[in-house]
Amino acid sequence: MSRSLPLAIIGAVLLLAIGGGLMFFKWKQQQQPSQTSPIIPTVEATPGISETQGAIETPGAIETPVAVETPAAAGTPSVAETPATRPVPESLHIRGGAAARVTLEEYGDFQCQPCGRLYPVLKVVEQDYGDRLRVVFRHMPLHKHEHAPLAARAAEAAGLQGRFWEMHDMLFENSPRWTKGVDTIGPDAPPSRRLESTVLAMDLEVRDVVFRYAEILKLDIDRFKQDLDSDPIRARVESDRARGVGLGIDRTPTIYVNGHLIPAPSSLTSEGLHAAIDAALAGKTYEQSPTPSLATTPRAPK
Amino acid sequence: MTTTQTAPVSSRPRLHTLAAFLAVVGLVDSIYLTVTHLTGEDVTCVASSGCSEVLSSAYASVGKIPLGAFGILGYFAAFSLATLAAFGYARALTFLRVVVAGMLATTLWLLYVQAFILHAFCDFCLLSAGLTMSLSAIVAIGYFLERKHRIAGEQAPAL
Repeated sequence: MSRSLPLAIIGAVLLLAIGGGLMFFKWKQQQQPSQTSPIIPTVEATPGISETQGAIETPGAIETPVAVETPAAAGTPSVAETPATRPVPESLHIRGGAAARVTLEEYGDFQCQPCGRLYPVLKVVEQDYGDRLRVVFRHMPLHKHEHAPLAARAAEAAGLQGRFWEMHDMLFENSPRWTKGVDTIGPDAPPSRRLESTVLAMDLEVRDVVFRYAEILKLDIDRFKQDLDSDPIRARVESDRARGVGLGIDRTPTIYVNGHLIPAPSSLTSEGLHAAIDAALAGKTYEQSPTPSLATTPRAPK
Repeated sequence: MTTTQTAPVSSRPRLHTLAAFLAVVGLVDSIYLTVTHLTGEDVTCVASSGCSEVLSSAYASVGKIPLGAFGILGYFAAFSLATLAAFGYARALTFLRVVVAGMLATTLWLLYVQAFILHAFCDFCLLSAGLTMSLSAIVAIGYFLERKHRIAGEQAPAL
C-alpha cells in the first residue's frame, strides 16, 4: 500500500474542510439581508425631541416594508409615509445626536442572544461618538423566540410613557434571566419556581417580569398593562418586523449604517462598527475588510 | 530498508478508521458552529432549548476566537492522527491518545459549564461531546487491547 495514501486522504479532507467551510460562510453571508435600507432623514434638533434620547412621532402614519427611498431632507421629522395607513402612532426610537450625520439602525430581538451580546458593544460605541451618531432601534422579533414579541411590546408600551430606551436597556441587560426563567418572578416567589432555570419561562412569568421592570422604571402600571396587549402596540411592532422582512432580514441583530448593511461579523464587533461609522463620517461607504473570496454578493431585491 | 518508528506497522485499522470517521463528523459540527458564530446567526436547537444561551455566552469563545475554531483544529488533528494510525503509524497513535485526552478534558469542562453555570444545553455542543467521548472510548479500547496482547506476548490481530 502506498505510504502516501494516508497523507493524500488527510490532504483531501483538509481541502474539503477549508473549501466547504468557506463556501458555507459565503452562502451564509449571501443570505444576509438587503444591502441598503431606506435612508432615515436627518432630523434637526426639534423641540420635544431630546438630544440624547427621543422618539419622533409621525401621527397617523405607519411605515410599510416597501423600501421607499426617502430624500435626506433636513428638518423633516417624518419617515416614509404612505397614504394607506392605520391610525397608529408611528415612532422612531432614536438615541444619540438627533441631528447626527451618521445613523446606525439596528433590527433587534430582545430574546436574541447575539443582540444581547451586541448591546454592551453598542453602548460603548454610542459613548465614543456622542452626538455624532444617531442610533435607531427597530423591532425584529424572530418567530423562534417565543417571548420576543412580548418584550418588544413591553418596550413600546414603556415608550408610550417616554421610557422606551430604559425598558430596552432593562430587557437586554437582564435577558439571561427573563428568557430562561432564572429569578424572574422576584424574591417572593416559591423556590420551586425560582429554580426552574433550565427551561424557558412561561409567558405568564415573563409578563410578571416586564410588569416588575415597569414598576422599577416608575411607569404607570395600569396604563402599561393596558398598552402591552393593545392593537396599536402590536401593529407598531409588526410594522417594524414587516419592514425588516421587506429588507430580507432573517437574523438579528442586523445593522445598517447610513442605510448600508454592515454584514456580520463586522456588525458584531466594536472595531467593525467603528470602521463603518468612521467611513460614514468621512462620507465614504464602508467596505468590509475580509478576503475578497468572502466578499458578499448583493442579493436580488425581493 | 530500515524500519523507523513511524513506518507502517500492524495496528487496528478498523478501530482507527471508525475514529477518523467520527472525527470528520466532529469537524463538520465545529465548522458549522464556527461559521454561525462568525456570521452572527442565532443557532436554533432541535432537541434542547439553550443553543443561543450557550453559544453566545462568555464561554463560547476564547478572546475573539470562537470555541468552534479550536474544535476544528482538534477534530482535524484527531482525524489526521487516526488516519495515520489506521495505516499503522505507531507514533501517530501516541499523539492521537494525547490529542483525544485533551479534547476529552475540554469536553468535560464544557459539559460542566453547560450544566452548572449556564443551566442550558446546546445540541451541537452535546453532539461534539458525544463524538469526543466515543473517540476517547475507541482510543481507550485500542490501548487496552494492545496492552493485553503485549502482556500476552503476541501480536495483536487486526480487528
